[in-house]
Amino acid sequence: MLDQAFQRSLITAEHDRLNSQVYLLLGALEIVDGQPQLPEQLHEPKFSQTDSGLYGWVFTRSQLQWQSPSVLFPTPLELDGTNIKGGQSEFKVMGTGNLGRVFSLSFDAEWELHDVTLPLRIYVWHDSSNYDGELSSYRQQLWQWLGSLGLGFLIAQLLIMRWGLQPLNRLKGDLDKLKDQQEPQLPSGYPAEIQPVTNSLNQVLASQQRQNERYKNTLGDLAHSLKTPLAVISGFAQQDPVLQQKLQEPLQRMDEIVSHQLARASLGSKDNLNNTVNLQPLCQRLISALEKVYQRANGDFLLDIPPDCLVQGNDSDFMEMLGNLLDNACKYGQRQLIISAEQRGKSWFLYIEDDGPGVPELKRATILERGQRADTATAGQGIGLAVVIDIISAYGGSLQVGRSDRLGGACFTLSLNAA
Amino acid sequence: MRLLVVEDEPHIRQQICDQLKSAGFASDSCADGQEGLFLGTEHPYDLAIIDLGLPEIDGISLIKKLRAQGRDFPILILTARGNWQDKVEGLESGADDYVVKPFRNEELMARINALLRRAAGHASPILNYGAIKINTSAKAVSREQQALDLTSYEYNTLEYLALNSGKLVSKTELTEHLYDQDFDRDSNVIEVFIGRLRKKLDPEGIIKPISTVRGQGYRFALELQQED
Repeated sequence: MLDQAFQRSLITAEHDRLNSQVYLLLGALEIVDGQPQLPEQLHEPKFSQTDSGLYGWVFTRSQLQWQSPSVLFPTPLELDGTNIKGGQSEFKVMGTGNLGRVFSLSFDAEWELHDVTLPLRIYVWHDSSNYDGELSSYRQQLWQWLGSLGLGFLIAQLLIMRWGLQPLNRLKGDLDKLKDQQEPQLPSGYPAEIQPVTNSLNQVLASQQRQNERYKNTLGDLAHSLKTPLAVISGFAQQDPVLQQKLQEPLQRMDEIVSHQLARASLGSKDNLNNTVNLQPLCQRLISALEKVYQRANGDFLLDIPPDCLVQGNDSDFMEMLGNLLDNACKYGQRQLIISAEQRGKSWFLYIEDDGPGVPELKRATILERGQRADTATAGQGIGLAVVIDIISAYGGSLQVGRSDRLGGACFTLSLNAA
Repeated sequence: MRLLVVEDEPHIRQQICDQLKSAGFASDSCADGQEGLFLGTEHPYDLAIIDLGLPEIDGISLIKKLRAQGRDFPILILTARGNWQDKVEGLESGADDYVVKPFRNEELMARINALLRRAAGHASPILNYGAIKINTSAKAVSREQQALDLTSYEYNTLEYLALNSGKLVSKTELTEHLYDQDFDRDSNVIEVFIGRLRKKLDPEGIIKPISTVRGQGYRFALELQQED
């Protein structure tokens, strides 16, 4: 539309220019001996320059009277002096053979000479090079402007979008941080449009947290409420030798099933993978506790774990797992126990070595079989190792058993994901 | 030996007390942490058995309070959950050992005896005083390889004196450690036990295992020998 308007204004300007040229020619025209004559030098020098693009002709009814020196080609056939009507003018854009497109203005005049009138027709042609040049430079400028405007719009839109999405980016960052928090809640201060979403998310998180708490508490209560009656029955059974003989095994199995299933149920949660456990202080606490229980001297237990031994998991799971392994090492070992750790790539390797009889090679695979059900375990075998295997499997780690080079007993090797 | 039992489950409490009685221990028992704290503070017990899940004051807080008041008798915790978090917290609060419910009576007695021996500074259950040997695990006494027939009160009196070998033990202390709250505390009974013990341990009156400190109490005079 802009282009068309500009074209129209250019054509109007061309029309005006040709009008002025016609008036210029009329002004310079003189009638000598009844014939129109124009001076050699006109005000408009382009009429005199060859191939200047501006051409002029003066016709009478009978013939061509004058043509500007710029015309170096035969008079075009469409120009003539027929049907001259005073005051009539015609402007048109036309195509010609050699000159290409031209603007043409014809103007009819009736020249008063005493009593006679001399009809004249003046043609002025102007080629379209000016028009084309201006139009193309206008178009170029127009496109440049439109281009930069479009680019500006695009940048502005991107900036607006970025600004508009900023709260969502913040939300994403806050959500990422949630996994490291003990009590996950999104902070406040979001824009009014997003606040309802974060409020709802917080409610969901809080209810999930409450549910987890309830679940854990229920499990704890379940343990207490099942194990205490078991202890009562077991106590009564032990008062009667016949009853004791009959009940001892089923009672022990019940106890093992309850203990094992509770340990498994309290594990379960995948959130634990986002937490971090420092194994050094955890092992130190266990060792201090076990030194007390097993009455070991200060140098009997050697803890050789670097202070930066961080693995994925949560404290209570690792305390359960390592508590069982270290307790076994104390139970089966004589005095000495070495706990060491080393990092290899993205894993920590934890070694628990004792000076006991070790695990016979044939039995090694059997004791580590995963998914061994507590209710199929033979009485007296204990559930300690089954719990260890459940926990380490849940964390994607592995457990191996071999012989300790340093102490001669068993060496349990745990591979754990570094945090 | 006088023991304190703090357990809220009445059947388990009674079973433990019966078990202790048949093993020759005197015991007081209660059902909540508040009363446990009162008894533990008031009486000089030789060992306490404390359940972790107690009403009023929970087991761990009770142990901490007793330790804060300077009570240094061995403490054995009973735990139903049996997870290591509870065990470690219990041991860190000042307990010396744990037993997970349900437990076998033999296991409980073995733990109690081990703690009592440990508290007296003896690692082995056999106390060897040369001619006289006391097996604290089997609660048996022998003289010159001959088993002696002692009543449980006589044995308990001897064991207490022997575990406090060399120290002066007053009649009041003996009474407090040997009998529970309901016992008729007549000091003549102690003198009768000591008299019988002397006759059984030293019929010829040569080795004189128990000496009397006039007006103050008794002292076990024999020295502990190294095991062969």
